[in-house]
Amino acid sequence: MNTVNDTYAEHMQTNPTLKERFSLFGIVWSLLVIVTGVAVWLDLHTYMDVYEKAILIGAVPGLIALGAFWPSIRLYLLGVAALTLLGVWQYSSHGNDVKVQEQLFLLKYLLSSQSAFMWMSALYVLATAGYFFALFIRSEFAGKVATGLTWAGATFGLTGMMMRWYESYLINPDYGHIPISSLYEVFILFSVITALVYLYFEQKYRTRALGGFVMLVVSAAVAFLLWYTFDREAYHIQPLVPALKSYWMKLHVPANFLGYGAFALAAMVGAAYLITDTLARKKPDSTFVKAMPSLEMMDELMYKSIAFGFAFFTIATILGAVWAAEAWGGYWSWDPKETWALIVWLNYAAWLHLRMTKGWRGRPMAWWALVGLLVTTFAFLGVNMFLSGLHSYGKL
Amino acid sequence: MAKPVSRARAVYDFFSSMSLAVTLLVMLAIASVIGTVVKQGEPYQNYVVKFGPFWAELFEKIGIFHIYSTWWFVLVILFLIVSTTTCVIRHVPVFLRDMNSHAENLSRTALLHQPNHAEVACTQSDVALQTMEAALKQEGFKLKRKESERGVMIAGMKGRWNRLGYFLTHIGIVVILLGAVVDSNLMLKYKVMTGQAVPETRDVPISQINPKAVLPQDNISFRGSVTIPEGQKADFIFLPYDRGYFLQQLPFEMIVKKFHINYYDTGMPKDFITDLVVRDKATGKTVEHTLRVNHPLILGDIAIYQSSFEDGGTQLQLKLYPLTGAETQPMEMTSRIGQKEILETTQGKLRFEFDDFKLHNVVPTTPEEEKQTGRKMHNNGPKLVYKIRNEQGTAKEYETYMLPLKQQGREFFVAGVRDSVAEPYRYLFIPADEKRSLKRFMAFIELLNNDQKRLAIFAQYIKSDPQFSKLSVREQALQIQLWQNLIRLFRDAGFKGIEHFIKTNVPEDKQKSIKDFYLAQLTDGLQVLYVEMLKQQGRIKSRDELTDFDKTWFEDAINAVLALPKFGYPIFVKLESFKLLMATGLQVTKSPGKDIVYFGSLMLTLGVFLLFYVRQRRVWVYFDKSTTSDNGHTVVIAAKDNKNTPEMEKEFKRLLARLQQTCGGTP
Repeated sequence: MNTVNDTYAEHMQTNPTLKERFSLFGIVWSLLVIVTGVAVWLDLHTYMDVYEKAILIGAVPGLIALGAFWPSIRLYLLGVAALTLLGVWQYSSHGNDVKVQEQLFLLKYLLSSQSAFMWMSALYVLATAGYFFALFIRSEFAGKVATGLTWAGATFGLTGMMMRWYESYLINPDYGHIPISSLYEVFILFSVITALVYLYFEQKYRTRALGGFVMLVVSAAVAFLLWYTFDREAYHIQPLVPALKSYWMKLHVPANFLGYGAFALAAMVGAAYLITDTLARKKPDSTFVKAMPSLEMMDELMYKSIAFGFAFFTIATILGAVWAAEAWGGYWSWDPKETWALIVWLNYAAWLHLRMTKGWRGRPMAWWALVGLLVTTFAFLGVNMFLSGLHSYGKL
Repeated sequence: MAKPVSRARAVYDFFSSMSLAVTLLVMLAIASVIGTVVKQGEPYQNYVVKFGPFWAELFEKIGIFHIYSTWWFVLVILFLIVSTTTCVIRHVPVFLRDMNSHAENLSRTALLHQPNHAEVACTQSDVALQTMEAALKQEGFKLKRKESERGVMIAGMKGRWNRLGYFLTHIGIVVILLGAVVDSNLMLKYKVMTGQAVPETRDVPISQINPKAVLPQDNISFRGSVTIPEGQKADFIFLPYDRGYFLQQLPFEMIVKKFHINYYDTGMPKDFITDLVVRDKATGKTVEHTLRVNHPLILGDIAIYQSSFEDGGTQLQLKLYPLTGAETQPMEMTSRIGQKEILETTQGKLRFEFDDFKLHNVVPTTPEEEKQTGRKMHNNGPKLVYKIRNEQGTAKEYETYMLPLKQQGREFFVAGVRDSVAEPYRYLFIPADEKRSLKRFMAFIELLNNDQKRLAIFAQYIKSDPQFSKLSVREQALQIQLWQNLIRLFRDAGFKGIEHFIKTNVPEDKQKSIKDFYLAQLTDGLQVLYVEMLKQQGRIKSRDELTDFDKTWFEDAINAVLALPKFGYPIFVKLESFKLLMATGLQVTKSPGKDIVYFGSLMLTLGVFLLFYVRQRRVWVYFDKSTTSDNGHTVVIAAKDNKNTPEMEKEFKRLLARLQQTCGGTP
């Protein structure tokens, strides 16, 4: 009887109730979103084309729904908004000169996009170490700290992107664009989105044991970013090439990275699955195996993550096709990027088919999810490095 | 004897099998990978260079270079359509039944075989059933109650739309593929196979194109492009096809008024814009439009895109300086980009091919310049690209800048040369004079080339110079002869020429001292020439007036002379002026399949979400009268999720707890 009640209670905690979804805070949040939306409209609508207006209008209910779906994101986004406003205020109170980021303390050490990204990088790496530390000494507290670090890293990451967006207009109003246009910028997007998707699943499945594994791939992205920053000086804000000057970018790119992020997460859970499974066969009662979540749960999480990624990757590819029809004159040109997107799509479609119709589970699927990340990485990076085509925006 | 299987049934089974679908998808994936690794649709010659004639021929035969339009690739797509369709047809009845049935007729044994099931002893089964009915309803289950003499069954179902997800995704894919087939050139392929249409492979004027390569305007779909210079018009586009092309006629005329490029302050292009007028051939109506990247012009079922640009025949005013002649009076030439000019020279007939002109040539600045100007980019100004081809057909490619470029604070006229496109350019730096012109250098070169003029200068110099004038006439003549010979050697082969002369004519033990002497004499001679030239030009009156500029100019000029033999043809082409004429590249498409594809995409998206985020769940609560005993009854509860997720287990445990509560607590 007790056990049943426990599960019942646990279930109630993992899925927020309607009351939690629209708590007082939720209502305040929703109102804030509406007010912000109206304020942005009043302030900037003269600069927007009809599509950008539609995106703004769509963002308001979208953010309210996101908050209801995942209440924790509300506080996160409020934090990002507060830091961004603080940063913007710092600039605007000093004549909106982009050079003041060298002089003002807050900008120089915290809020200018470059320092925010550095904070993000440091926090993510610390979080990775923290998660593994928590796993090995089995400390609840250390795990909580790691979760906090991840949230903080994601906060600085998104704040940095918002600041970079603002700074791009300060450098030259002509250059201004949402910072998801270059390889450097999308790597930041990737590390923010992957961390957030992970945090969602961490809450839902109530386990921090997978944090180290997932944050490992985020740390790899950070390592690439740092190399790209210091070796290649890729952080300079460049104006957009004509083909990228379109509202479609605001939709196509984030959708794509929700896909990439979820696929990366699935791959790392797959890795955790394989390690746990291998150890469990050799030493079933080792502390590591006991600290890890059940194999079934990891299998399930892999599926959830790939399904989520697949859904958004599908949308992203379709949006890409619609944009291609507008920019390149055809919705499909067998361009290397398009073709590799199709290959990635086919790969995960096959993964999902075998799980759903043939009931495949366990090790082969974990291996497949892991190898899937290689295919995805090639589509994301390899195509830019080795193949040339229409979609050569993020050259290394 | 085995039951005979009808042939139709066997075909049906073959097409709806998963293994066929998987095979087709794997083929599609492999072909796609090949298509991205081997660059598609390049000129055949490039492939021969890359793979060798044997492999290029073989690859061409199996369509590696146009993989996405080979018959076998199209066949894979068609098979996929058929396979997916039969798969859907096969599943329709099963899924429809599943969507609509509550499965209220399951027996107790069947319930006990469900993935989640339990039996609960109950004192008051009717109350329990009612409570569960209410609870399930509250959770959103659609219920069906069935009472019979054997017992009471409550069958609940939720998320039936999940099954719709299956149909939407699979039919969506079929619709997308059908749309793509509509937009493909299958029809054209058929016409080529039957000989009704023949692609043109020659590079000929429009009027001479094979009539069988001209496609009428009512072609159902096409995607091609045309390049139109400013001030000209076109009512057709080219559709590339294998190694040739088709000419697609359009129902309208595209008149290009102007093409512009807007730039950022970094020199990066910001926008490509064509001022376009489109005149409908049937009605004569015209539309004026400013065509930009990302903003196509839609005219009914045809769309026009800004896709590229090139030079449209810019007019060129040129001066050709002979670099080895005794006279350096330049020859004037008028030409335009895309034209070829033939010139009779001492080296035979040379053909000048003016290939390209670029108005802006933006390059990153050097760190020093960035410090000075604060700019990261620098515009080198107009550049001309041309070839000089000899009678044997071999060519050297040149690029030359119109304006002098700054290098370490000095200005040079810069021209590059290379023997093939694969090589980098080797540059010649000719120092600009104080008026930023070529004049001083050409005058100096002329003196080097012209023995008579040089002789006159030396003779006059020696007479007027206080030191040399003291010498005997014979000594004076010897001095002049020495200078003349050294300069001739130097002009023809540089310092190496002098070294070679010493090696062949001077005994070994004296070579070093002679060499030092000769080099000193050469320098003297060249300096004398330079100073006397400047005096003649009226720039200075005596050697003491030479400025730092003049001194460095001299060093730079000597370096340029030394580099001359590597410049290929001894002709310096100087662009004097130009009249820019651009051509815009327009892409024109007719793709009636587009909306079909979008509709299919919408179905696919919707279907994916239904499949993943709507779970089809069934719950049964069954009271079987036969289980009634003295203690009460037994109620069976069972649940099933068509994807057997852990959530179902949790939900089932919750429902079970509820049932146990209402049944009186004893588990």
